[in-house]
Amino acid sequence: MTRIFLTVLAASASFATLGLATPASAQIEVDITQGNIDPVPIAVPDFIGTDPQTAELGRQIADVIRADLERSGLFRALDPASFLETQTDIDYEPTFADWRIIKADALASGRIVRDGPDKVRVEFRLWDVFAGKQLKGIRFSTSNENWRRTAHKASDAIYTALTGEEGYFDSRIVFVDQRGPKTNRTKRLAVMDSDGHNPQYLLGGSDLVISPRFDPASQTVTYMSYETLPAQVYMLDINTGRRERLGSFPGMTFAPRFSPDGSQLILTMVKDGNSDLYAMDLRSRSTKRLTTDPGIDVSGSYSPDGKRIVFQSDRGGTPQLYTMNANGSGAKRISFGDGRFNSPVWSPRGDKIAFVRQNKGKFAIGVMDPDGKNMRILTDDWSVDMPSWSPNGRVIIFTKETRGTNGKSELWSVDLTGRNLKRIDTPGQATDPAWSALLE
Amino acid sequence: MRAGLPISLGLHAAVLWGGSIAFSNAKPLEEGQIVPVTLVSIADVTDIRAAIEPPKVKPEPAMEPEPEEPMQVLTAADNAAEEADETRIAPDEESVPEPVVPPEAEPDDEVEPEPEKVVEAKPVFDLDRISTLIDKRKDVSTTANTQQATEADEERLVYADRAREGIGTGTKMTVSELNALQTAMYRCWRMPADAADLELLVVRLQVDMLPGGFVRDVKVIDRAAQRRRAPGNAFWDVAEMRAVQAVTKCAPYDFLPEEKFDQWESLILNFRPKL
Amino acid sequence: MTVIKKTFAMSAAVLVLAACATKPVPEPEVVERPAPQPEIFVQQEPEPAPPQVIAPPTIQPPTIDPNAPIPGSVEDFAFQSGGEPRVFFGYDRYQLSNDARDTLRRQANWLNSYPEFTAIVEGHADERGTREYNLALGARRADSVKAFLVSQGVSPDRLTTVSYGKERPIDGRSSEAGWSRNRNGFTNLRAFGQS
Repeated sequence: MTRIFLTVLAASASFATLGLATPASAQIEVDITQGNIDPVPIAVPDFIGTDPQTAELGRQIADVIRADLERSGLFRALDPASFLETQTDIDYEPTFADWRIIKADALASGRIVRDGPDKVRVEFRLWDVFAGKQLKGIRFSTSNENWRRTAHKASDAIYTALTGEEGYFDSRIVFVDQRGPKTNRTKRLAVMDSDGHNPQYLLGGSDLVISPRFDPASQTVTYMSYETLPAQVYMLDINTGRRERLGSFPGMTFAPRFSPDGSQLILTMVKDGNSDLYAMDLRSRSTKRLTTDPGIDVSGSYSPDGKRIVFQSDRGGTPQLYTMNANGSGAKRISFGDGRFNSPVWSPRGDKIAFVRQNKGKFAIGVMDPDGKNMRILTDDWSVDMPSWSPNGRVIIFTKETRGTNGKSELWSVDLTGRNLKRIDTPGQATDPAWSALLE
Repeated sequence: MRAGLPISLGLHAAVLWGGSIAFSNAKPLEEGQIVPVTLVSIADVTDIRAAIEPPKVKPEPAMEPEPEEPMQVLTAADNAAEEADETRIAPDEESVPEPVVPPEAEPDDEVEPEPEKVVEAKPVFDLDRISTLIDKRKDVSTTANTQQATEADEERLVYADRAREGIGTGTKMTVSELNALQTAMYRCWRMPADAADLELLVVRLQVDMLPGGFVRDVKVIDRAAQRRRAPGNAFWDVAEMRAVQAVTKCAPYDFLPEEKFDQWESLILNFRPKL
Repeated sequence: MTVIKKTFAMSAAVLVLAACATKPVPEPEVVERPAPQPEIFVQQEPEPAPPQVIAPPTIQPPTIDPNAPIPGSVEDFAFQSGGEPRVFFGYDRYQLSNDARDTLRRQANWLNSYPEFTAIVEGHADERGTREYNLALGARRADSVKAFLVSQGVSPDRLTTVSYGKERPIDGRSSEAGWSRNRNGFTNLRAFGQS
């Protein structure tokens, strides 16, 4: 556990650096190795408004920020009822002592200023309560309807300042809305904000659709549809609604995923019953076959530098994870644990690969390094599938299904520590979630 | 002193922005727009105070709000730390991918000898060596030259690690008294648990105490040398912030024995996260 | 679209034999998939010796039954297939069982008699696999069925394959009873010109 190192440094060796009038005596040095990993307590008072309307907006925005931060698992949004100080002007320093008493590590205070009939300015400052200094001050100009995105952007700024990594709140999730019992389901392509708000259908519900995924610009979604048989891979521009079938192959095509630069699509194509991975160049629409073995090769996913691909194959007898070069060469197996390994997805940060392990009647979401080391299971359940990474590579969203005739599917997320498991509210049942990049 | 750094949306270094200006209120806001979002300019975020010398007889912060000079409320580490390291941070930040000193110059194993496997049983207290260090450090503290700084810091690291072998020698603080300190830190220190290469993010703090266990000053030391353990790691700022917060939050350290004040009046705390 | 429901009467007199093919082949649950046999799908159908003596004769007689569907109708195809034109597979398997071969032989026979029909061969999987893997597994199953029908003389041009993976279960139960029914290959008959 904790080790103690006592060090007696001779005379003033260290004081020389400090330039302080510290009494010259032996100096004790202690190693602290164990800290807690509790969420950071943060105070987010309702943003101040200048009139009833902006005051209401200020309440809503603060609500969204508090919910965002809480959901991340890294923060605990303190109850506004406990606040001692009511700031009236965010340009004056808060009374830090008041915030220290309620044990807030950080304080985010903001205001809304009307900028025109339909425009507001949202300003906020983030304070380090214990150091007594401002960490960040940001102003957004936005239209009234865009207040949610403004709130998410503020959450992202806070998240970044206090954790050191990029946020993920101002992003979207494409998914498949699902209705009806197991034996008679309708599925519909839909999209929503990262917190589950603003769900919108992208297509009618007449055709079975599977595995939508965003392109890096978060504008286009690729997915598999049974609109024509055999089922094929499509692309849909979510702003214009323009839809396009990517080729008409004799065999089924499925499991599409964009390359990190958006120029390629990796997909699986069936030929004489055998599934292999292909890369499609989106400009020329030419396809290049990447795997040729008689096993099932499926679920390809590019590394963020576009140089490698992780996929699943049962060439060795059971489904396992493999990596190979983007041109199909140099395949090597990376999963060696118990069970069957499926649905790999390379983290946008590059350091991890998420997967689904099936073992002893259970399915689990796990992560491993790209070389297969450091495998960890984050969560398991009766049935989980279709993992997708948050833009910052810290959270994985996935599908969870409950068993039985009335089994339902839901969206859940878990962070890399495995400690923060959360359900994402959706209008109906939902499956096949895929996260966009952070929005511009 | 120093104007705020121009910062782009993705920059992670929010924590350490700004220079020290006497007034705290007039901090411009970073400009951001939602549709389309453009961050126009960056704040010159004022830091709280100049803090030329640490307030002498400062009582525990939480007890005294000091309305007319709010920026001094804190015993604050931050300023002193920034002051000392200010010139060093900037280059560190900007030249992230590149270690300031040619890495070949000092192989890592020399920088971080595992304390466990030191061959020499006795730490070497070589006065000549120490005075060399002192000289170098004096140079360093008055110049912005990062290269020298890291070099000196590094030697010092070596030295500290060797010295660590001398556990318990000649100190009158008992292990249980120091254990209490660690227990307190466990409560107050939120490890940056999600950081990449967490165990490399070692933060050294110089903590100066007042009688009663109040913190008079806390500052990050040997920053440049520590950062070379994991150059370019985006989590350094947060690691430092969390360590400083821990020391501040845990005060007062009234469990430390009054009669040994001379021993804990000035402490070095190494925050070495272990998961 | 004509998904044949098993609505017609299961006249005991007639279906003595057919019924055994309808059953969801209570095959022993295989936990680990046997090593894949690369050349599997098409060629290995030289009929292992025991093609149950009963099998061939069953094909003709049932037409005499009064409850039997009109010969040459979609219902007739289902009827001749043993109630429903489905064959069942073991867990994570795509090799055809003897029962499945019997059923498919009757399907081939029927298709050879009524050349105006085409079929979409659907491969299905149970829910004990991930979505994308199951699509691939269903594709193997569909291909096993198609390959066998072709080996029995049905022109490959009349058969297309598609996999539904685990997306279209016929049994909602999360038990072996349900799963064994959901692991199947379904010969979805289309009248000429029908899409």
